Amino acid sequence: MPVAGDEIETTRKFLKDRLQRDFITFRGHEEEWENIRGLLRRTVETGESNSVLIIGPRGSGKSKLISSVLYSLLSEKDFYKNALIVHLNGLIHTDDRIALKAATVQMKLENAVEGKVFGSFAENLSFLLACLKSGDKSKSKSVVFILEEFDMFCAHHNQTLLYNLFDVSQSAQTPICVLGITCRLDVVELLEKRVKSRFSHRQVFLSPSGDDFNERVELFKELMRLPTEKELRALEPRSINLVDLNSSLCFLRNIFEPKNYKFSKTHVEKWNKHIESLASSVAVKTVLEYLYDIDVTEVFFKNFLYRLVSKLNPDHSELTVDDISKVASVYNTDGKVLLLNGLSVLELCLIIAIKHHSTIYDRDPFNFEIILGRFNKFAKTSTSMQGVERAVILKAYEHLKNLEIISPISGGAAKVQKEFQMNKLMLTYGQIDQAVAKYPALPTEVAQWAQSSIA
Amino acid sequence: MSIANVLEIARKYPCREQIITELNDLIGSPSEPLPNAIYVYGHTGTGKTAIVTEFLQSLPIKSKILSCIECYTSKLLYEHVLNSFYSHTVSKSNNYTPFVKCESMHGFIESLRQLPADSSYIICLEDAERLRDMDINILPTVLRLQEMTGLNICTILISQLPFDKFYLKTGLVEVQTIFFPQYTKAETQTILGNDFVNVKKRLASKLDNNEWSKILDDLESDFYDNYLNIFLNVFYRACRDFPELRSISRDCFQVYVEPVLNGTIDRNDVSKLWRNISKPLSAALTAVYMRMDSAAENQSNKALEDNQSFKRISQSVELPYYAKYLLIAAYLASHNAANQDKRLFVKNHGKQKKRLQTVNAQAKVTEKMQTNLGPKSFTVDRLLAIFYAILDEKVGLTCNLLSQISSLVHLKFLSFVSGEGNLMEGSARLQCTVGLDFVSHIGRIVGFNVMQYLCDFM
Repeated sequence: MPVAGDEIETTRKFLKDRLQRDFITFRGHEEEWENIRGLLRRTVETGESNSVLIIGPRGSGKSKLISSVLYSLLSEKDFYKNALIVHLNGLIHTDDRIALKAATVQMKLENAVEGKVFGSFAENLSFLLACLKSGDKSKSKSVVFILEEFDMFCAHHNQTLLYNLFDVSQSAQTPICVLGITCRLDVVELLEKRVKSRFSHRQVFLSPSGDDFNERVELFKELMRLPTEKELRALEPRSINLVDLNSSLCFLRNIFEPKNYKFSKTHVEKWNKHIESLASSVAVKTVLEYLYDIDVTEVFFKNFLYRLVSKLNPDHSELTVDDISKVASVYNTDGKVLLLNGLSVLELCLIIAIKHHSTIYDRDPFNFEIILGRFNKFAKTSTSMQGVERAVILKAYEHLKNLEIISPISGGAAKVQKEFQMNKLMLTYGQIDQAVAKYPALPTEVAQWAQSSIA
Repeated sequence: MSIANVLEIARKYPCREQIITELNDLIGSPSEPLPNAIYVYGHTGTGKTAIVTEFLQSLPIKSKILSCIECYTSKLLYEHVLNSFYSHTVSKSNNYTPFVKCESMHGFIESLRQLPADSSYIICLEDAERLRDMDINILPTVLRLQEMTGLNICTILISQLPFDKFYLKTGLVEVQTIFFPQYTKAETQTILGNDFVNVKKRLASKLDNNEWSKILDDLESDFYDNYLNIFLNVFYRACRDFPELRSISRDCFQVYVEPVLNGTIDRNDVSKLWRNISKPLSAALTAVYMRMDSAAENQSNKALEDNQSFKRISQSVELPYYAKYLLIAAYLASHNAANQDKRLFVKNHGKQKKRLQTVNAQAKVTEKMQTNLGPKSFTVDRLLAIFYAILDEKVGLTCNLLSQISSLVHLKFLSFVSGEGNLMEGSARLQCTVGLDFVSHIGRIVGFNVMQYLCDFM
C-alpha cells in the first residue's frame, strides 16, 4: 500500500513529465494538421514530391505539429517502411557541409560513402544527389526532409542545399518532401530568386488564437488531472523503434508514457475532484484569464503549470488559490524594476537625474558630466546625498552601464574618455516611477525630486 | 532533494531560504523531468553563484558549472561540458586532450546524444550575458537542449541582467526565472553580524598584543551591532554591494575598536565612539569600491584619512613652468571653438556686432556646454598659437618646448587623436584629457585665470 506522500511525489512527477515531454498530443489547428499529414502521406504512398513551409510565432506549436503528425504516421506500417526521415536544425547544422554530412548519416548512406573518400563538399553533394536522382517514383523510398529554423538555412552560402532540395522536389526523381519550419514571416523573401522559383509556395500559417478563454480552462483541467485506471488501460503504448528509423529524431526519443505510472483509485478521484474545484473557482479563473492576456501560447501556459506543479510535496499535498496567484505573480513582475529596487540610493538618484535630462531634452543622449552636474544641483540642497565624491559617483554610473540600464550609443567613440562617452537610457519613465514608488525607505527628498525636476 | 538538505544550505546562506526552496522545487527529485532552462538573475554579491553551486553539488545529478568568461569560445564551452559529463579529466597522462574534439554545435549535440538517457544532467553557465557575444546559435540552443538531445537535461543561466536583455530577433523559448533580490538593510546587518567571530579572530592575529586580544575577546555582539548600525547608516546609501560592504566594514572596525582597546573610551559610550569614528567613516566613503588601502592595511587608520587628499596629491605633479602653460593652452584649445580664438586672444579684434541672433546662439544651457560635452581635438599649430598668446614673456620655439608636449602626452594629460608621431610637421591632432578642476588648479599656481578664457563661462 503506497504511502500518501509517495502518491504526491508520483503525481508531481507524472504531471511534470506530461508537461515537459508530451510532444505528441496536438491541440487545435485540425485543418493544418490534416493538411500536413495528407501531404506527407501522399509523398510516401503515391510518390508525389512536395515542399511546404510552416510559419508561426515562437511557441505556436510548429514542431509539435510535425512530431504529432510523424508519430501518427509512423504507427502505420506502410509509411514506416517506405519513408526515410531526415531531420535537420538550422541551429545545429550551421553550414551546408555539416548539414549534408548529417543528412547522409541519417539516410544511412554513410557506408556507401565510406568506400569513396568522404571528401569535398561538392563530391559529397553530387553523390547524395545521384542517390536521390537514381530513384524514380515507383520503386525508391521517399525521403522527408524536416528543416527546423528554416531561416538559418537561408543564410548558408549560395543556399546550395535548399536549391538542390527544391530542385529535386520539382523534378520527377526520388520523391522527397521538404518541410521547412520557421518563425519568420518574411522567410520567402530570404530565398534567392532561383531557389524561390523552385519552391512550391505552399505555406501553412500557425497562429495561436486568443479569443477562447474557456478552452484555456479546459486545458488547465486536462493538463492537471490524473488519468483513471480505465483511461490508462484504454491507451495504446507509445513506442517507436527509432533504432531502425533514425536516431536523430530526438524529440521522439524520450516521449511521455503514461503507462509507466500507477495511482491508487482513491487518490486519483480525490485529486481530480480537487482540480475540478480549483478550475471552477472564480479566483483561479481570474488568474488564468490574466495569464491568458499576457500570452496565449500553450508553451507559456505549460511553463506556468510546471512551476505550479513543482510546488507540490508531501507536506503540501494540494494546490491552493494562493499558490496559483503567487506563481502567476512571477510572470507579472518586471525584471528591470526588481533590479532597480536593488540599487543604492545614489544609483537611483543618478537614474532620476537621467530621467530629468531625458524629459527636458526629449531623450537626447547624455554623458557622465551632464548627469553629474544635474545630480550635484540636487545634492547641494539635500541632506542625504551631500559630500559624495566624484569617483564614487563615477563608479555608480559605471555600475548602471554594466547593468545595461544605460548603454553607449554607437559610432566611433572608441577614443572618447568615459566621462564624455554619450549614452542613452534603456528604461521607460514608467519603470523608473514604479521603482521609485516601490523602493524601500527612500529618503523623502529623493522621492520628491523624482516627481519634479525643480530641485 | 530532501528538505534537510535545503535547510542545511539555508543555514549557510541566511535570508535565502525561500529562494533555495524555489530552486529545489523546480529541480525536484533526481528522476523527475527537469525544466528546459532556469534563468537566475540578481545583483552581484547576492549569492547567486554560491547558492546554485552548493545546491548542485548536493544533488545526485551530473552537473557542470562553467563561467562564460572562462569559456570564451564555443569550443572551450563544449569540451568542458563533455569532459565533465563523460567523467573525463584532462591530465598529463592523456596529454591534456579533451574527451572529444568538438568545435561545432553539431558535434556537441551528437556527443550529448550518446550519453546514457536514463540519468539527468545540468549545465550551469555563469555570466550568461556573455553568451550573447558568442556564436549566434548557442543561446537558443542551450535553452532547448532537452528537445534537441532527448536527454533529461537542464541549463541554468546566471546573470546580472533581466531576461529581456537576451531576446533575439526571432524570440526565445520560455524559461523559468528565479530572481535573487538585493539584501535589505536589516538582512545586511544580520549577515555582517554573523561574521563577528571571524572579524575578531582576524583582528586579534593582526594586533599581536595579548592584553588587547583579551579585551577584544570580551566584546559582545551587541557592541558589533552598534558599530554596524553606525556603519550602514553612512554607507548604505552609496553602496549596497555586499562583498564591498563587508570588506570596508572590516577595515573600519579596527579604527572603531582601537580607543576601546587602549582604554581611552569606554566600550558602552556609544556617542563618544560615534564621534570618534564618523570622520574616518566619511573618509572611507570617498574610497568605496576603490580598494585603495588594501596594500596599506596595516596603517589603515592613516590611509583612510589620507584618501581625501589623494586627489590633491595626484594634482600636484610638479610640471615645468612652460608645460603648465602648454597644458592650459591645450585645455583652452580643446574647449573653445576655433572661431572664437580671435576674440579671446587678439587685443584689437574689431568691434563685435550684437545681434539678437548671436546673443541667442551664445545663450547656453549647462548641458550643452563644451566643458560638459568633452574635449575637441586641435592641431599643434593652434596649441602653440594659444600658448604664445597667453604667455606674457617671449620664448623661442625650441626643441625643449616641443619635447614638453610629448611629455604631457606621456603623462596622459594630452592624447593623440590622429597623426601620432607627426608632431613636428604639424598634422597631428591632440586633445586635452584633464578636467576643469585640474586646470584651474594649475592656473592658480601660475596666476592665470582659466575661466576668463572659456567661452562657456562668458
